[in-house]
Amino acid sequence: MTSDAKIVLANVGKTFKAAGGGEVVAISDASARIGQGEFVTIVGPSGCGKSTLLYMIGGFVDRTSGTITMDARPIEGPGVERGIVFQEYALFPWLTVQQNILYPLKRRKLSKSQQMDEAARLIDVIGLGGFEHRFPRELSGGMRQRVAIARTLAADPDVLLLDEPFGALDAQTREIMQDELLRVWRATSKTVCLITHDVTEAIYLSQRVLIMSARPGRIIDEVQVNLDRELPREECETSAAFAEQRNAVWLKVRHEALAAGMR
Amino acid sequence: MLLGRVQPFLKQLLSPVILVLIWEASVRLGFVDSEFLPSPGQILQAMREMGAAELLPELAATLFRIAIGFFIAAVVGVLLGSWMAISSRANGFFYPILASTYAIPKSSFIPLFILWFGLGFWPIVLVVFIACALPVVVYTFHGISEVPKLRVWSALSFGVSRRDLFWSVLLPAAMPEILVGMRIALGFAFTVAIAGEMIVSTTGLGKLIFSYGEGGVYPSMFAVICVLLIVAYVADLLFMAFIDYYLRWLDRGHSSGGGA
Amino acid sequence: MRLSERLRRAFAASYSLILVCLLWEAVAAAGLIREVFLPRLSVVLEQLYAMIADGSLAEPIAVSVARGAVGLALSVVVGSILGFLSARSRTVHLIVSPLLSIGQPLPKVALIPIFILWLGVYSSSKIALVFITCVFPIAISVQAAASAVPKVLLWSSRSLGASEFDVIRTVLLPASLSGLMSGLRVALPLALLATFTAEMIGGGGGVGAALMYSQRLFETPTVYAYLLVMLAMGIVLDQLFLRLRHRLLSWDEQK
Repeated sequence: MTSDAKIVLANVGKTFKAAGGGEVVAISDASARIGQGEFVTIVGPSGCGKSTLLYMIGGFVDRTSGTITMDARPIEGPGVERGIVFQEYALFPWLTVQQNILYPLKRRKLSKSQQMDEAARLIDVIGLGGFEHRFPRELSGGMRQRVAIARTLAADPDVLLLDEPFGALDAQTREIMQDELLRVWRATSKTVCLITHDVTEAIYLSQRVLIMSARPGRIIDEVQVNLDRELPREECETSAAFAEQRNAVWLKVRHEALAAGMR
Repeated sequence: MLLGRVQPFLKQLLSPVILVLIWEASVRLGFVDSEFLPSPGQILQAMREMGAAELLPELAATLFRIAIGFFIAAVVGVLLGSWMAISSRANGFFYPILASTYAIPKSSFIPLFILWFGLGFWPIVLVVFIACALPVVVYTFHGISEVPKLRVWSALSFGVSRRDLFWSVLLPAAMPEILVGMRIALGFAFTVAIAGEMIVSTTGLGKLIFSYGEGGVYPSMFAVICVLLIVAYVADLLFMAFIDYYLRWLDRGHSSGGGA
Repeated sequence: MRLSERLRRAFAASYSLILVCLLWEAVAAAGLIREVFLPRLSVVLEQLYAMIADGSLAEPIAVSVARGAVGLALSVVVGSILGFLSARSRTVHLIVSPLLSIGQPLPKVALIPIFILWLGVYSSSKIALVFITCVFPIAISVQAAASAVPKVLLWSSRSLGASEFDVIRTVLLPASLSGLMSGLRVALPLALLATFTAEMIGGGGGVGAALMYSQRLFETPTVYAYLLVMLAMGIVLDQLFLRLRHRLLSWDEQK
């Protein structure tokens, strides 16, 4: 696995300046590795800094200490190789669905017709054929997130970072989107790192779950998920193996959440 | 059914129409001295007599000055406001200067500009420029500063340069605010241009109003004022229609253009 | 904060203004621009001081302020009543609201000749212009604030046993007051602007007329001095307003 590591976090720390003077240590000494083509989830109690960690991998927030490398090169800022999908407010509301997806395509070295073809293909993949010329305000939350994912895919990044992407969706849409994401991952073999507070989602989606402590956040544990992925969703989620692993992770997260509450 | 769609429009018109009717009646019945307030009918008559030959060139002159001053102010205002929003050093430099001009009525510069440029075109255009620039700068600054961080980050994750980011993301995102500022600036433009023309000019509607006033030809004076007010109103209406079309993507339920 | 720290901060906040002043003085002193167009800043300030010292500034300022104040006061009274009633009564709304939205974007300055015709060249016509300029933003603001009071708030107070009158007094009036404040914020500088503009166009005393007069006589330093006077009046007014609002609306969270 070491030679396969796509992204390596080594002793990463982040300290913010607090409003009234003084400092807040959001993350202290977080280390982890994410392998090439792996689907990894990071879970932890609210406020533990998992989003901040993701933003640092994305290059949007600077580290205070430690290193983050991708393909053995340090991450200095945002880049096309690391695509990100946020929970909300990411689409450009003044562009139609098609124009949103074309945005990264225009900035790759592609011909006009290649851009249009790829956009059409992606719109098809996310199942929004017929909605090309709608504005985001005309779409439901689930549809918007689909467009956001398609747009990020259009940039053809090596790594997909997702910050609680399905958090704002209702339960049914969330399940559909989770399966969509799995499908895309299997089809493209990209490296995926997803943040969520929903442990069930983490177990269902990923191969490995990293557990983050309460603030100041550290990666305190990781769980390799062993599930029979051939099973259909309903059977998989109700299997004993699923429940066992989910509970194990959930208890650890809960422990951290309570510990934070008592501080 | 058609009535349902037309009804709000009619509601808007009811009050002004009644007002005009009362006005006409008051003059006819002698409650109001038509020396001091001609009736709508008399005003229309004066308009007809003046005709396009007299009104149009003056109207064109006024509108031309407003247009030039406004457009230059719009361009300069957006660029300056953006720069101030992006660079805190630029903000630190320009903010005190702009804040101090805020308190001075821009029309007061008209005498100064007459001193510098004489009568005619330039004083008016310049004063329209400085009257319009300030609201555009302020609203642009606001609009650009408030672009949601996540939207900017999304663009950055596509590997855009800073220039690309500005033109393809920041500016479109700030457009709702910028257009509001421009609409306000348009109102100022008319006010300041007319004030200027009344003080100064050799051509333009303001000068026409003033000379009819001095000459005691009141129905014509009222007529030109009415033309001016109508033109200003229509200009505002057109601008609003333009804004509505341009911003048809805007989700007016949320202030920042919707989620996702 | 020590004095040196304060000075340092003040300087950092306004160094561009200081730069402009220095540039002004330098360019004028070097004779790069003719004196009739751009006199030296020091000359302007001297002239300003002279005008203050011999009292010739007192009258125009007093006249302008009085006109602006009266016009504003009238517009506050009429505008608040109209706005409030328009929010409460559908009939009033039907009559008043269209007039407000039509009148708002119109350049009221075009009415100056009409007011001069009706009211002469002295204070009444200026007050009329200030009134007609300021009544719209105030009425619109009050109307918006009074009609925006969440129905839930109104229902809660009724259910707590408040009479209709109580509801008006304790819920609607404070809300309308907040609307009045935001309308005033717009109207205050407008009042000053309208006064000066009416004076520049129509004459008849006040700072605006004095400005025009000195321009006609090509007394450039005086022209600049009056501009500075206008600037100072605007700043003073703005400060007064902030203090007023702070005292009246300390309960209002929205700044």
